[in-house]
Amino acid sequence: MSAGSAFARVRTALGPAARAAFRFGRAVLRAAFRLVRATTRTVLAFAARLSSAETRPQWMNRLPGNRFALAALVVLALVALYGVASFARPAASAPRRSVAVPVTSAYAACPDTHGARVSAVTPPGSRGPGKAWVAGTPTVLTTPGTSWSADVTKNAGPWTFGAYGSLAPGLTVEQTTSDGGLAGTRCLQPTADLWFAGPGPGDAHDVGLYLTNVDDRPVTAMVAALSPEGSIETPEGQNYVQVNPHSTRLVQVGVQVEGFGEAAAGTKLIALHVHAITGRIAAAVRVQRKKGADWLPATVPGDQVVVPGVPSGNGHRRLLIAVPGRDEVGVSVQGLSKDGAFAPTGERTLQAPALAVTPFDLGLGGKAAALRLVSNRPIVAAIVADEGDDFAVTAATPPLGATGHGEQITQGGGIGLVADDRDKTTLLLTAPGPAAVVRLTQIMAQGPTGTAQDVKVPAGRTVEVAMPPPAGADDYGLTIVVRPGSGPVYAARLLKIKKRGLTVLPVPPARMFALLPPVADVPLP
Amino acid sequence: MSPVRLTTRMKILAPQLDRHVVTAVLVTHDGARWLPETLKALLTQSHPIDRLVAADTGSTDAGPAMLSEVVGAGNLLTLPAGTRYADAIRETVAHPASNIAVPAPEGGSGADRVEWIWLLHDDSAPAPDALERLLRTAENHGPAMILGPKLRDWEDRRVLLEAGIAIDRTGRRETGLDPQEFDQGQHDTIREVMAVSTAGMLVRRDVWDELGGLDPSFGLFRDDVDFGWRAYAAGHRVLIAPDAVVFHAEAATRGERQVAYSADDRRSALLVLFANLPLSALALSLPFNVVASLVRAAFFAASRRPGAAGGELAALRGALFRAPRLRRARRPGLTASGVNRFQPRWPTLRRLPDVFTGHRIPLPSAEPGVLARWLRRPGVLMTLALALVALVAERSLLATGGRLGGGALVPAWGGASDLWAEYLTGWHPAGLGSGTGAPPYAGVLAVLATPLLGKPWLAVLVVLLAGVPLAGLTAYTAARRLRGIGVTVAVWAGVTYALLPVATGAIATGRVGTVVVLVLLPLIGVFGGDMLREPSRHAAWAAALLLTVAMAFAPLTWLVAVLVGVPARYALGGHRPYAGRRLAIALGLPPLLLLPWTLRLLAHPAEFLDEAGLRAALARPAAAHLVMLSPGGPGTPAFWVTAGLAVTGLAALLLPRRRTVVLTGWLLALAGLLVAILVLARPAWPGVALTFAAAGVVLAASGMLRGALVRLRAPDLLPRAAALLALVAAASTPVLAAAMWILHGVHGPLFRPNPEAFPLVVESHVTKPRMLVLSGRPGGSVAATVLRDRSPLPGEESVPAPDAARRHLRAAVAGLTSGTGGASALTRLGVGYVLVPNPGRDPLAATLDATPDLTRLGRTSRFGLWQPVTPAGRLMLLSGRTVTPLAADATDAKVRIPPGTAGRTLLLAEPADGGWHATIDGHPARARTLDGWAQAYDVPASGGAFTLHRGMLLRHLWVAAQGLALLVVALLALPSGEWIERPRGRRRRGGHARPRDLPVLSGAET
Repeated sequence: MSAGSAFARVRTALGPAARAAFRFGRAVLRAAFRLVRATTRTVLAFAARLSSAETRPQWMNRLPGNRFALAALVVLALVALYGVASFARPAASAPRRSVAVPVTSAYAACPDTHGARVSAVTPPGSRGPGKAWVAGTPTVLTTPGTSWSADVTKNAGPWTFGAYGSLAPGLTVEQTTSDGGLAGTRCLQPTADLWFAGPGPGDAHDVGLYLTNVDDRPVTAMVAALSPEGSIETPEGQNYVQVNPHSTRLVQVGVQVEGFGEAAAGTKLIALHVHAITGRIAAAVRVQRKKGADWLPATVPGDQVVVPGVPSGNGHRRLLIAVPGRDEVGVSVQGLSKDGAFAPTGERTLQAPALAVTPFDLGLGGKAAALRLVSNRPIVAAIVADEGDDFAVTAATPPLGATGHGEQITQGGGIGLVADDRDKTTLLLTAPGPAAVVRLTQIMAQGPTGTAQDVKVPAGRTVEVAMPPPAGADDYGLTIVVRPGSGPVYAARLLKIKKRGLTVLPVPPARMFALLPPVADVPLP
Repeated sequence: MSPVRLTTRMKILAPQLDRHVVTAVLVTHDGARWLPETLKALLTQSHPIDRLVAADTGSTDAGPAMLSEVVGAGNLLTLPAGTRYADAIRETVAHPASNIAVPAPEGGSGADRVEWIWLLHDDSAPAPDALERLLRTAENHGPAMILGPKLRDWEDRRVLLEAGIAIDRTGRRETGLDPQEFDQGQHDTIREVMAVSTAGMLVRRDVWDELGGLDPSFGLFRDDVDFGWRAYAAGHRVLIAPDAVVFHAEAATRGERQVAYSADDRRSALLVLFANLPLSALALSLPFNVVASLVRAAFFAASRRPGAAGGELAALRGALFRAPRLRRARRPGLTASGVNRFQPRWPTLRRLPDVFTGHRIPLPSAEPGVLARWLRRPGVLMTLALALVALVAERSLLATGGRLGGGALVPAWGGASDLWAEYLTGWHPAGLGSGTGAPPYAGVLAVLATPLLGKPWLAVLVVLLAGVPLAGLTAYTAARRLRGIGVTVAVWAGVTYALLPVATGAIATGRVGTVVVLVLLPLIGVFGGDMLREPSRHAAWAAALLLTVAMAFAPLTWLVAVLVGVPARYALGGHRPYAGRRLAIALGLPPLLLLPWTLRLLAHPAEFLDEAGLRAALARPAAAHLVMLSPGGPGTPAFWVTAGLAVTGLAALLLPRRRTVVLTGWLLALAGLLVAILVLARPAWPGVALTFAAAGVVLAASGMLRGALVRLRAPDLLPRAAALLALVAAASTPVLAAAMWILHGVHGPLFRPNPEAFPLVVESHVTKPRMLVLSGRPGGSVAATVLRDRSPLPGEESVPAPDAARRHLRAAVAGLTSGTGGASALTRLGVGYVLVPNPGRDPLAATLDATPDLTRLGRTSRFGLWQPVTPAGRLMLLSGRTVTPLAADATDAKVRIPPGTAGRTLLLAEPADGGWHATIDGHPARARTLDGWAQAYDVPASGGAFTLHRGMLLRHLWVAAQGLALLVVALLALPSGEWIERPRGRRRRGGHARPRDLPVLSGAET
């Protein structure tokens, strides 16, 4: 009774439409129930018929006695098992995927902030508390998706940025000096292996190698150098440099013993390899000519590399190829400009000798371009662009890719971040593969500006994008996000200021995520 | 009545023998089978018998008629059935016919006449010159009053039965002969013995009268020994005259004559001792024999022979009850001391070889040696051949020289004592630590290793090496139990089963569990069959015991057994009311016996698919391989090797005979295959399921091969050709399998583990830091293992730490190897060292090099070793960010905590599972869980003496109960029932069943 009244109450409480829906649902339920009941009854009746010798078909009764029928049944069962076995075979137990987690701490070591503008930016999107700071200054950043910059006049010297929490993913710090030529570099995350290639002490006033140890224990770095003539040897054999905790050490290449002393003094080109024996180290190389200076961008060897960001202009362009291996390498070079692919060198294939850094003159026709190099063995590639009195150096860098999923990080994706942008900023974007659409967002100290600019990069071309400064500021950060469905994009930032020169900064993907490998705890090693 | 001169032959004997007057006394009971020969032998003696008196005790056969015809009705006493031998003799000797005067021989005087009584049984036929030689010995060897002949077997007349008897200190009858010993004159010395059998015993009549004849107190048995003993006590001598021979059928002993309750024998034996021993000796013998009887009774009771146990107790009681009266009558203490020189020393030890050679082996007549006969048995030959094949094929395993590892095999480091300790302990100091009970296979391995010089690796090697021959032997034994299979087919079944792809594959990958199941499965089948057939329930207990062992190694065995056993109970044992109970014993007991471990299985049902050892890399067999019973992977031959077996099995389906065997086999095969496919889908090793399937196919095929063998001699060509084809197909499988196995050898993941692969010495520090072994795997994953100061033992791979601890470890390792977390998380896991094997090939080495808070200690081509900056240990004092490792033992700890600040924490890097008991200065420490898994204690600012203890009482109780239960089940599984109630031994042709009536004939027949 009470159930019925409850139903009635429910029915009256609902409107006519709801009542109809209720009735329909009830009808469906009823039909389903009847269907199930009928099926069950049929199956049960069938089973009952088969279970008795009187009611089941005669041939079934004869079956156990009929040996041929039984043999056929067994064969049939075997065939069925064969079928099940061949179709139901499981794939090899799928290896567990790596998990991408946002990095929780980051360091950025700016080698020498004397007279520099230091800029920092983090991408928007991270959540939770976090902080980015420099020792000796107030907290730099507290909100993801903001930028910060400062012209350093006091407390100059090596600065080490630290960040944790939501500020750690993608923390990008740059320093740009403009005295004696515009020279900018990214403040590096400490790591184990770094390569640099550029003008050597024979072609410069001063080549300084900055080694920074951000950790609590001393780090021993091994520094090796290649010249066009071959590997530069020190009297001691291998060249070890110890760096004390929380300090930066400057090694003057071609002057100090750790900088190969006299052996490297005359070399016009040099490739440096910094390897931390234990621990990790942040390294940077500054090349100072009489007029003009630049920081050499850090890179790693690879056999299919793209060097983005060759600026337009009529100055001398040289490709430097350093071969770390003990075999000569054949390199095919392709230029990618706004007009498409072209051959920038005389030969299709360049031969780079082993254990040496070799220059190749490039004919780019004054166009902004990128170079794609494919070799049979790993090489280190960099381009030195002379422009007026100043020069700029760019080097191979990993591509930016469509983001959104952690797994793409494994294929070298991610967004690009540029911290130091001014009204003279030009972005050089190259899509060596499929066409790409890139969204550029300017980030101010308060956060991202509301407008974003989508740039199309045709397949196999390089696009120059002159960034208009946002209203009311001439320094801002920039995020470069490759839109979904695009091919990989190689990016570089060109900063060209009249009377001061130029500098190029290849833009690698920001370090947003760390890949946690799947770990199996096994009882026996 | 006239004097009975049975012969009037000319006397050609030495004249002095003429003075001997011999009265032969023959007692018969249902002895018509032997009587004609016995009588003939008596009548044709070279020294004629002077009087022949016979007594019949209620025979129901033609014996009395035969007797009265030969000896004359007047010389035949008819006594009621049930008269004892001693009484029958007494009556007969007292009968007038035994006292009729015998005329003196010509030329001799009656003065030096000697009267003798010659006791004979109806089943003992003296040699023609037996009496003469007995008398001659009596003549030549002084005052011998009692003489006995040598007894040989009635049927096989070379076999020596007795040449004098004795009784040892436990009452056991001792002949000093081996069973089935041939008479080659080796015992032919005339000597004093303790007693002689009443079959052919020659006694001087005056001595007989002096001693009062045989004592009827002894009933059936031992009256002869008692008689001899009393003779010595009275100052007479008993001699054996080995040149006189009597052939004796020992009818009562061998079951051709129904004898009464067997406990009589035991009672008589005890009574002989108790009645005759001097007092001083009795003081020792009495308690000894009482205890021995109680032990025997307990053993009988435990092996469920309550009749035998009761009989033993009744015998003891009877002996104790009757002995005083006899002793009073005899006063033995004065004179009996001379007898003990005949009593054998250490009788039990001396009998030990008999236990092994076995009285019960039916010995063919012509073979000389036990060993040679044993070696000629087809089962033994097959096993030896399989052993040879296995040795040759597994040469590479032998070449590694002992300890094996790799594949699924955990290298068996340490000794049997370590395994025992591992099984008994409630805490496993391995990996992150675990309080889970060790898997039962570790206990079985410990049991195996203990007799094998205490070396577990030897036990593993023996299982891997002997698995194939033993599987062959068990399969052969099982096949022999099938009715009408025949030896040849049984040998084929054994060899085929032993060389299955499952067997070779399991050996190559070190899957000990599958090998054990392979060996035990036929036996389980045999006992399963016995469960339905035999009246006794012991087969069910035996099946349960074997299934327990198999389940301990591979729990899937139990599941498949349930899957197979329950339908089989209805299909094969439907009308037997006890089948269900027995099945419940056989299937229900194994999980109960393995109990603490079974609960874990039920909680993690996926572990049913695991086997003893590691989860090794798995091959994925193609469907064809699987259907052909091959699990794939190392050690398995090409899949067509088993084609012959499959074809034979399928052909068996077409035969009209042996439908049950063939159908049972195929149902088993299909069920096994289905389970194998399901197991593979998991994925897990399908070996156990395939073993069931293969056993089914072998069963089905062997059902038809016997027919094929018979049809080889068929007159028509077609059946002959078909039979030949089937036999060739069947034979191809074992031959090909053996050939391929020998050819390829064992190439698998097994290798000889290097004891110095990991420098575990660095961990033998007082703070017990652990070592984390990391290795990169294809696909970017990382394998992490925490090692303590020794490598894990077999079994410890199956005692994982709690999930929380493992998660914590995985997270710490992921953080370390991805560069997001440092080594500090490792410190809190107690990890003091990080090791990467083969650092030259492993990119992890570079990652660890780049980790700021790891210091590299060294790097060789074998391994690189790092140390976290913060020191770690098993027990750590956390004070703020400072970590101080403290000294600790492997399980317990006792350490003094220095005073310091408040709010300090003592971190025990072991899972907090409630099993730790800690005190500080005698007060219970305040416990809490740190990092979600580790045991931690609050430390007061004053510090104090910290003690840590792990309670293991529960585990010890479990194991004790388990051991006790296993012992009881093992006793229950012993074959029960027959003691002497149903004598085992040779059954003669023509032996006929007799109604169970009371015994008459006995004498020394035991």
